[in-house]
Amino acid sequence: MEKALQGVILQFKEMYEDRVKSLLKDDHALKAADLETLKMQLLKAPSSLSSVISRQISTQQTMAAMREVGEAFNPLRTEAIETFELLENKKRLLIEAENEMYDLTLPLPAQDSGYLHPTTQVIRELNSFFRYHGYSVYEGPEIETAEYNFRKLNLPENHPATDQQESLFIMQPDILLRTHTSSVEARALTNLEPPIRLVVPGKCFRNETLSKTNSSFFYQYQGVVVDKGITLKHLKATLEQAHKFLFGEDTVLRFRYKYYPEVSPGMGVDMKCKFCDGVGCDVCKGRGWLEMLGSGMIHYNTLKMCGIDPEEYTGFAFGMGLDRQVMQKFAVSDIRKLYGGGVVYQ
Amino acid sequence: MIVPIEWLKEYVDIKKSPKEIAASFTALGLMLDRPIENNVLDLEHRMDRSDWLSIVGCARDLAAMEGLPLKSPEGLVPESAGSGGVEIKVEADDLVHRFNTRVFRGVKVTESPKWLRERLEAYGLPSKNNIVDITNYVMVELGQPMHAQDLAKFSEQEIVLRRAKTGEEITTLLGEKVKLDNETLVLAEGKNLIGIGAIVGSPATAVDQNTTDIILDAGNYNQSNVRKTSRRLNIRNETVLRTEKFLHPHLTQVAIERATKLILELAGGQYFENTDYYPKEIPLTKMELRYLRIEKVGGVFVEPQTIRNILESLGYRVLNTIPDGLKLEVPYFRTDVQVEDDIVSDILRISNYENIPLEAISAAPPKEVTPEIYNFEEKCRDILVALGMHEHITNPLVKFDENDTDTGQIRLENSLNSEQDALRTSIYKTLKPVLAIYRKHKIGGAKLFEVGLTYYKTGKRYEDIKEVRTIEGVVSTENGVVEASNKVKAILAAFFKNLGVDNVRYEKSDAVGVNTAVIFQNKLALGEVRLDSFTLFSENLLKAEKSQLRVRDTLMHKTTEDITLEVDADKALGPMLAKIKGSSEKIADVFVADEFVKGNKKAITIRLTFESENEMGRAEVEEIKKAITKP
Repeated sequence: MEKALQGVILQFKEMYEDRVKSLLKDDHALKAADLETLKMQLLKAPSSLSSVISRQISTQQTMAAMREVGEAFNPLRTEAIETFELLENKKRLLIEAENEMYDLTLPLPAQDSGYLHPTTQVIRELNSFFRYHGYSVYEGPEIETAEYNFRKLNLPENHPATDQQESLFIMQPDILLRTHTSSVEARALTNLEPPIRLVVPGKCFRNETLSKTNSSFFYQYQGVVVDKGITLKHLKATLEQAHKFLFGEDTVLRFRYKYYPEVSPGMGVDMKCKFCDGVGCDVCKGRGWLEMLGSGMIHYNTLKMCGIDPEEYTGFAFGMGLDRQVMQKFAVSDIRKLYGGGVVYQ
Repeated sequence: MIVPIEWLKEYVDIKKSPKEIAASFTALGLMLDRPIENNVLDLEHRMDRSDWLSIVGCARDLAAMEGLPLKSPEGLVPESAGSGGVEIKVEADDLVHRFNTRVFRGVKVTESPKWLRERLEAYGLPSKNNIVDITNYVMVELGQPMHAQDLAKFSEQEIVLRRAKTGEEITTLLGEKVKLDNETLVLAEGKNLIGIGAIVGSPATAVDQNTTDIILDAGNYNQSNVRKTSRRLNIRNETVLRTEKFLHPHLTQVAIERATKLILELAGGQYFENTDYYPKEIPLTKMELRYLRIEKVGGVFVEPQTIRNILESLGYRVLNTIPDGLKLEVPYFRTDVQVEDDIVSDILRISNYENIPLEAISAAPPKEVTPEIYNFEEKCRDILVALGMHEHITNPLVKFDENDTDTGQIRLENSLNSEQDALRTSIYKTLKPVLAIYRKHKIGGAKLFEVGLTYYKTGKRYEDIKEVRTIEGVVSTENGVVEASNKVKAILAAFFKNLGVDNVRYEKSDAVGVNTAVIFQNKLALGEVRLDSFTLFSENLLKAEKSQLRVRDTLMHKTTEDITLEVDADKALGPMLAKIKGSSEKIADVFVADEFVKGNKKAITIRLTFESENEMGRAEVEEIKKAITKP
């Protein structure tokens, strides 16, 4: 019995190695092979084996012998079945590759793919620059107190910028929707110890009559740096690096004095219009320059009110409106459309 | 500020072209608001510098920058012919700081000379007659609004400055009838109102060609009241533009002397001293400037002699030198100078910012303090986009909902827009309408999300106001709510899978009502799901337990088994399935494969997928199944 078993196994092995496994390396033969029949022939082997067994031994011993045979034979059989699966797949691919199964030139609708809001995209672009340069992103509440929105920023009561009619109040005169991201600067300066290096993207609100370019809510992007030895030179270099990153190495900036209550000295920054190269056109309203942002050295009083010694530390801040930049980049004509009222993504 | 260059040249002898002059003004802090036309510069208005609303003020800065002398206009303090005899009574002393008056008698009102007419016209003010033109001229030249009135038209020889009585009316010089209230400063004589203080005059006492005796006033007022009143009455004019800024009371004296000279020259007559109401004199500010501060803030060294020259050309008076610095008197017209750094600004500004070199920050970056929630929400955005959802941002300002009494809606007190007078309590309200825009564009199957805040309050203190970080998703229901809710659930399942948030269960709750379920992990509420939308709370989502099950390097044996249970037909199955899943760690998935309703019961076939490293024996599977089906 032992001998008969060995014989069948050997026969099976030979057939498997010669006629089946060899096909794995021979694409030509595989294409021509009749895998169906081959599989039937090969897998027939165990049943012929069991007939051998039953002819030679008594029924009582059959079950035990069958188990023995099975244990010896099953791994081989499993391997053979897996090989057939591989071969069948490979053969199908070989045949498909030869025949034009599918017209790959056909246009088809795109599968669903989402899109980030343009403002998120611009914020991420800015964040990527500033985070690379060691800035953290900082946040603060949108509903603010007059303390952080005005007073700590050197905007005492009665200052024109604190005009109650320009802010949206929840409870006059102390609780309002923040009118700028500078309120977050005031919180950061109060809560953190220098050195500080932050950017703040966020929503701001003003009591505006709505128009194409004015919305009651809009986005600002603020930057704040406080450390020992920070000067206007660093502010200028930072803004130039950032603008070159965003708008290309050929960007030309102009730095000029500009008053903002929360800084002193204040600085306005313009970019030479790329549409007309500074000659003057519709885009730059004939100025040749586009106003990019407001900035300056953080006001002495602001540092003091936020608990930072202005004799030991100096710092700069800059803030820009994001919406105009976003609208230009994505060719959106109306700010109301940008925020809910009418952009769709194709 | 409109600056006709021909007029400007009276004070500074500049040879540059209008374009070059505009470039200098830009560096000084005054950009062009419009392109140059007819040799007239239209410079922007800045909030702080009240002296930049005068041509002399602009000329002074320009002269300092160009290194040219400033030729100040001349005033005249001649012998007064006597007392004017017009009584000035200031009753609203909180609204009037100074009221400086002079009386002129025997003037001849005529057309102004050509040069005067042309200058005013270049500025944009129409010429009226020599007296009115002189007041306007001095206002534009020096920045101090002035006001001349015909004394013959007064019933009483007095001017009373008081608060208006509510309901009082006045007709302005423009012929408009204006209703006044108690917050409005008015000028009155006898029973007649003759002007709104610091804002506009009245035709009742206007100077005309028959006028011979006039009273001239130059006042200094509470600028915050002027601002509020002019906004309330909706009056914007050349006077308000200046009186709403911080002007020094000393300017009234400079201006009235200048006007006196011009009136006597152009209209003749005699001048009489009259009351100068100025009860609390405001002294000039004295300040110290340390040379080192310039370097500390500006990063550049400026020679002490240069510093001194710049400051003196801007009108600062050097009182004395201190060690490494100067003690200075700030000129009266520089009401913007508050701190030493403002003087530093002046020096850097006049030296031109373009001359400050650039230097990259070399210090090591400070500690990273980006809040975890910020990065987390960014990750959520990326996952939702990868799941085919579009991000939108909608306006958090909505119309106040009178019927909503229980969400703690926050109403704005002063919105100009009645459609936007409250803050949203859910993003669904503002995001859902965007789907309609997709329908209009015929873009089917839209799936949208927004990451933002919702707002509510529980009381009246700042601490009672809450902002809730929320992620909202909505899907289009154009193919019915079943398809929509399947999409919503599939998105959520994939979203949680990507975040590694496991063991999420959906529970019905009476608190949220029908067709809504609360999403939990253990006891943590992650949000809510509705037929067409979901709301997730980022803060809780961040707190949820997370595991990373998506990467696996061992082969797992999978077995699928069905079990059938009978339950009440209206039973929500989610919690039961979640419980089944939690009953053995070898159960990887549980879904309902089939259900059959008979009467008030239904038979459900639940498909269990078992997973384990070693092949599971029949007995083990049966044991888990038995534990599940056990009543």
